[in-house]
Amino acid sequence: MADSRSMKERYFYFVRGRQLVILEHKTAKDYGDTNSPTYQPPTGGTNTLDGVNAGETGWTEGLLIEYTAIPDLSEVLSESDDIPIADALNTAMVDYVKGRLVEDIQDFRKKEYYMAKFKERVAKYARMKTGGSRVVQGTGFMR
Amino acid sequence: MTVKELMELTGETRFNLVKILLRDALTEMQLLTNENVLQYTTDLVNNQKGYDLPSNLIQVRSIKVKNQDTEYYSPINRLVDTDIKEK
Repeated sequence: MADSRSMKERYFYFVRGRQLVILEHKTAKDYGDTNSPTYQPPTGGTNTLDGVNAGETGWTEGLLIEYTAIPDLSEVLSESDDIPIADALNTAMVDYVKGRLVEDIQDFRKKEYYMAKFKERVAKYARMKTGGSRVVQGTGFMR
Repeated sequence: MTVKELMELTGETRFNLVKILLRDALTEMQLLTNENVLQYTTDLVNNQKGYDLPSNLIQVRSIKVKNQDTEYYSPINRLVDTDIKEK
């Protein structure tokens, strides 16, 4: 019989170091002895997998992972290449590079100045990205 | 902005050094703004609980599992207390 639970009721995850751990809640009929946990590695999946998972079964492309990543600079190969960054962050970038350069010559006062400017500009950019009013809308149970 | 423009504005002439500093700057900005968001799909393997994350990852934002009936990916919850029983 097909599993009628929603994905949220069925699976949960946590991150352990550089690994994502996915577990599945057992159904009542799978509980077994009372010492075993109420969860297990994901089960089922009818597809025969290929690539790195060749020889296994499961759900092809069954997981969608959304994450923030370090921008890729592999296409920046020469001085004439564009920096992959929003135009509004250009001045912050200049401040950061200046800050690191004066750090090398141990001018820490200037370094602090440039890094403070860098953080201020980045914070301003992050704040201004979404317009509109900044209010918290309460739900029914909030007092 | 090009790398050359950045070099002129900062007065630095060493391209490789500027590129390294650029990478550091982008990483710092990413930590503060969460600007560069990526997605990828991978197989959900029967009886396998661990999945390697990409090396350029800063933060996992959400995990979704494909509902095989509807073909839509639905979000799943993150476990807060990770002290679980294991064999």
